[in-house]
Amino acid sequence: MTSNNNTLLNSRQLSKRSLWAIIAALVILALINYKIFTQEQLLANGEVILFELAPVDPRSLMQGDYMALNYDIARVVSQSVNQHSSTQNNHDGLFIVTLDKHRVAQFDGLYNGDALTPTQRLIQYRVRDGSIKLASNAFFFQEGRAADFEQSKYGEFRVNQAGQLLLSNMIDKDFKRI
Amino acid sequence: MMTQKRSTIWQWFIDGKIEPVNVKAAMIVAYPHPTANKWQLLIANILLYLGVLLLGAGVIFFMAFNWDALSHLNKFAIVETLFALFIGGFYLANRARKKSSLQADGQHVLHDQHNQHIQQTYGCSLANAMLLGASIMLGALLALVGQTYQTGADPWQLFAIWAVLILPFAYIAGFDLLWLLVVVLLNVSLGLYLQSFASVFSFLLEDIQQIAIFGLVNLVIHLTFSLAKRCKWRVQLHFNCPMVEASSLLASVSGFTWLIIWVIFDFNYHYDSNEYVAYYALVYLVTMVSLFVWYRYRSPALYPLTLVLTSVSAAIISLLSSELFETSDTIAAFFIMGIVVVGLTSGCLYWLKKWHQQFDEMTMLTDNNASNSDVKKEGTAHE
Repeated sequence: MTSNNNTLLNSRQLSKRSLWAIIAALVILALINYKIFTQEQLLANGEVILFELAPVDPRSLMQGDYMALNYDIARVVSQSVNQHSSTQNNHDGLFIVTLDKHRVAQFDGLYNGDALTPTQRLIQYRVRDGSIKLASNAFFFQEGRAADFEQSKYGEFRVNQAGQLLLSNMIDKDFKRI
Repeated sequence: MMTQKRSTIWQWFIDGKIEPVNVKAAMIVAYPHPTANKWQLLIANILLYLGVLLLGAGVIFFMAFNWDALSHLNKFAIVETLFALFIGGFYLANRARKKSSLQADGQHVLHDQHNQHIQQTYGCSLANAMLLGASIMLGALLALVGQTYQTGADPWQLFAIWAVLILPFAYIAGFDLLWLLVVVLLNVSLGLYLQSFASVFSFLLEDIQQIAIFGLVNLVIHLTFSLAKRCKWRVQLHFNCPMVEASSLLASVSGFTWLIIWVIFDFNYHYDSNEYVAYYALVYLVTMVSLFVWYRYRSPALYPLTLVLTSVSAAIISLLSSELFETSDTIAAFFIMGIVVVGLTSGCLYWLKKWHQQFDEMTMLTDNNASNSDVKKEGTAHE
């Protein structure tokens, strides 16, 4: 290093460093907590929608603390997306579902800006590597509880008006939360 | 530096300018053994950083094991509190240093102390260890948010956001490990992004293009750090990170070498994308030549030259082998390859040794100039 007497930090510069670090930390915490807040709002106020799970082959993909998920509806969405061959390979989009009396979602069609009927809901989806993703394609749980979650038949989501999804619970065939 | 000093003294001894009895004393004067104080400082630093890393790992395991026992908000509260504690630790460590620097300002500041002070401010220090800890906690917090609300966001986003958010800390600390964390995160994020989005662009990004992107990105990182360090402004101290410079250059040259080897083995005379292949070869050649010229003549350094020579040797070997093994006589091909390898490595070693000597002489000259100017400065200061 070249000897340069200007490089000696005086006390004012040191306090400036402290100040900037604290400001940065506060901004970061504010951003993350805002994100947490919006997600909590979605969990608390979002509408419950169930998606039937499709068996993932092999089901033993469970690695102790998470399981891979696949949804029955993803197959239909995928077919529908493939018909619109003009769309890009990896993209985000919206589709429409109707809910039955157990709030299980049935696929209606891809969203093209038409008005929705009262029973219809918007759902966001993403295409990655040719497969459809609804929020998360994995469910995380505590180590050792794999056997309980093998019973799951539906994934419970919270959905807001814009179609944003959060996976909140696993549901068994009797519509009970696991 | 140390070996150079030693060999100079050895030279003086050979020339008979130093009595055999005094050689050991001269060596110790030129290169004093580390004092107990220095050892303690080193051990304390190692323990400090190990402690910070282990604490970070511990928190992550604690969360994983008690996933169900803690509610969402409790988990966030724990990690955020630790994050805030690390920031508080930075503030306290900084304040303690402020006091000591205030005391030092009152007295005459020795040159040695001064250097140590910069080291303490921008390198390993308690304050910067706190920032490192805060950065690790931030990653844990982001991962926790991502897993709790299983939104299924693309994995590259986590690493990219993490890298961007710790940028201010890395800048404030101006500290190798933190910048290295940023660079590693950027690379991981880029890799994951290419994995999931390689086909988004109008044309399909082939693997070879992804390697080229890696090479270029790391080259840009290397240039950013080495140029920022050369600038004569205050900010340069925030970018003085030899470890980052060295590792990004290594990553970049490895990427380019991989690229050229791929090009060589994929080269196909009746393939209609020959044009692209020529571009890659050109990019490789231009990069290597400019790296060579820069580090040979503008800012002489042995490490980048070693990398360039190794890369070029690898390219030559693969070019030869792709040509030779197509002939029927494999045994002769192996023989020729063996000879070429021996020739290339000994040639490279010979050059490197020669340059090493030259660079040493140059640094000695500049050192002399620097010390002379220092003496002058001191002289004017005393007047």
